[in-house]
Amino acid sequence: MENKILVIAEHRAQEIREVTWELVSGVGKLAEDLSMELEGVILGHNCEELVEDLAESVIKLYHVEDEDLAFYTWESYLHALMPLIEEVNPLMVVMGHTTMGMDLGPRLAAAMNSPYMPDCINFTFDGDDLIVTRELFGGKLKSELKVAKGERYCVTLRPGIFDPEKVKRGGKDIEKTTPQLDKESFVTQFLGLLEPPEEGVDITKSDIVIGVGRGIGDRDKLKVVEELAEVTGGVLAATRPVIDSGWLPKERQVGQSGKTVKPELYIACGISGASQHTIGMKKSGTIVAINNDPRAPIFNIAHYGIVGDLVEILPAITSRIRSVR
Amino acid sequence: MEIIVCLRQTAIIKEEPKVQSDGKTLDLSGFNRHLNEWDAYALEEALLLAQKYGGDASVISLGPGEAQEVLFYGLAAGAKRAIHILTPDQQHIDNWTIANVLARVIKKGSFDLVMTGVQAEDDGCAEIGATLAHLLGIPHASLVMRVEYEQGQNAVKVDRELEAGYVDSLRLTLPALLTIQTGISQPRYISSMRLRRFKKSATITKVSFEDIVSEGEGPSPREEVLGLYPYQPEASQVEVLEGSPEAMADQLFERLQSKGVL
Ligand SMILES: Cc1cc2nc3c(=O)[nH]c(=O)nc-3n(C[C@H](O)[C@H](O)[C@H](O)COP(=O)(O)OP(=O)(O)OC[C@H]3O[C@@H](n4cnc5c(N)ncnc54)[C@H](O)[C@@H]3O)c2cc1C
Ligand SMILES: Cc1cc2nc3c(=O)[nH]c(=O)nc-3n(C[C@H](O)[C@H](O)[C@H](O)COP(=O)(O)OP(=O)(O)OC[C@H]3O[C@@H](n4cnc5c(N)ncnc54)[C@H](O)[C@@H]3O)c2cc1C
Repeated sequence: MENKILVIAEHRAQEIREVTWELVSGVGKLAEDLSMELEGVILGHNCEELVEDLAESVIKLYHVEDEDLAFYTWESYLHALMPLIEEVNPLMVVMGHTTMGMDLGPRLAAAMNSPYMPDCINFTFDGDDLIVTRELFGGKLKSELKVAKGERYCVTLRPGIFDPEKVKRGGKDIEKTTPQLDKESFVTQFLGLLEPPEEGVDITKSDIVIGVGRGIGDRDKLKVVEELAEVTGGVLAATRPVIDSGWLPKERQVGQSGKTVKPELYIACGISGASQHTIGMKKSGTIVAINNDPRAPIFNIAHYGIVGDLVEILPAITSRIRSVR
Repeated sequence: MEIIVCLRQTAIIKEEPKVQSDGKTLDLSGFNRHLNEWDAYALEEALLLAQKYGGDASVISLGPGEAQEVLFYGLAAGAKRAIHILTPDQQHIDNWTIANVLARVIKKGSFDLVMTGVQAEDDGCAEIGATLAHLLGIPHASLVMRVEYEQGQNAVKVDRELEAGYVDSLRLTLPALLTIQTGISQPRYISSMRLRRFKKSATITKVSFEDIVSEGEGPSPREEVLGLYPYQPEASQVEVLEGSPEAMADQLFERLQSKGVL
């Protein structure tokens, strides 16, 4: 067994995705502490610039080049990765718990016959045993798990837990390979990547964002949040369930599949603080959370917390601000 | 089109999970449970596809006795058949085992599509779907937001939701597995009267978990819980305001003004 960790790089629209920088810097540090080497693999087509860019941050970078790897599909990636993993023989394969990691991770782990540990926030080794930390119940609990001994492990790490630093680690050791892809047998065909649509309101431009979550209960009550937005001069944004219900348009969604906002002030109203939401707002200057559950994980990242019913509290805040305007 | 929808009963996560004295297991007794949020969308999409293109949706769940509630819900919503893989109460079964057992049972019937939710709201693993597809030897797409059946090609065209508004479009040869993202459609409303009626008269096929495990090489558990801890942020910075709504509004206003953000 080689004492190596292999990170699978992600890129989209000719750019290395931020999560990849997070992994090479964060996992790289963990690897150093564990006296392990961090290697990377990038699969793609005509992506030499990205390869050059990434190569410095890992001890060695495998560049798997093929026309059919221009865009991610689980099938082309799986077929290209399996022989490489055999050859590189890492103890652990790591990727982000992103839409790519969620799609590929379980399938790759099953194909490797390796234990799969998704959405981890930390990992370490105790002797030969892999120990991972995960969150449960939307962040209310942490669990520490010992993973059954495998020849290899496959882990996805939550995006946003490490800083995306561009650490210099290697000397640009690049190994380019061309995979043997049996394309005729493929049952998954890539048809296209659609860009985000142009939209009306750009919530990323405002200094004050009022975020509303499922705690609002019903559409009629949106009024109390709208009034707060109006009196503060902020914009209304929302969590996914609010958008799914059709109460606000998709362009207002904050989070992993929506927008990332970094206003000076973010007021989270009736939002539990699921990681897929907080990844889109946790870098806001000041975060206020209003929630009737004192253990809601949103309070873990808030600067000011108010425990209570937002239908009672928001009008009080609105009228306090209005009294001086 | 024959569609199988995997339904998971989850504890409602708003309630406070109690860690037992062993520090490793949860006491979920008395917890309210419901159909996993993502699965309600998977079920709805399956019913809409069956209605549009012909065929039936069936539902399957693995869990203890009470998990049958979600199957009755599936039947009341319009599923034609339901299978309950009955597990011993209080037994923690890991994802690898769940996926293996689901695969063994699903393989016994015929199907064009298998649908799961993207993730379960309590564990949030997003693991079962793609693992199951691998075990069934079929293609999959996760985070699906649109499905179109291409009858002539024996395929489905799907859109997957990626980060920040990007969307991926794929064609999968059938049979295939899709994990469904919330918001793809609006799950239908089931009245409690209708649900009661189905609980009285509908049949659920029961299968024993142990029997299925013993049919082949037993999938061995791949994880062991070392400890469960209430989440404590490393450096909580939150200042919790107290008092009446007006008092809290005053304090908040003061602080935001002095910080210069209001
Ligand atoms: C791949 C993927 C991508 C996703 N992308 C996104 C995304 O971009 N954005 C996003 O937001 N989510 C996203 N999600 C969904 C995410 O996992 C959560 O389901 C979602 O963020 C929860 O939204 P919420 O906080 O509004 O609802 P809940 O988690 O239901 O929380 C509601 C909160 O309101 C509180 N509450 C209830 N009543 C009141 C009251 N009267 N007064 C005060 N508080 C009250 C409750 O205590 C609770 O904490 C994604 C999920 C996946 C799997
Ligand atoms: C501390 C702890 C204690 C637990 N105790 C118990 C217990 O006593 N009894 C118990 O049954 N579980 C228990 N569980 C839950 C069990 O471990 C999970 O069901 C399992 O880990 C599956 O993960 P997931 O639901 O997050 O899968 P995900 O991969 O997130 O689920 C994705 C999709 O797979 C499908 N799916 C998942 N599970 C099932 C299922 N069982 N049947 C049908 N479809 C499914 C659904 O469509 C779901 O949307 C416990 C979990 C923890 C952390």
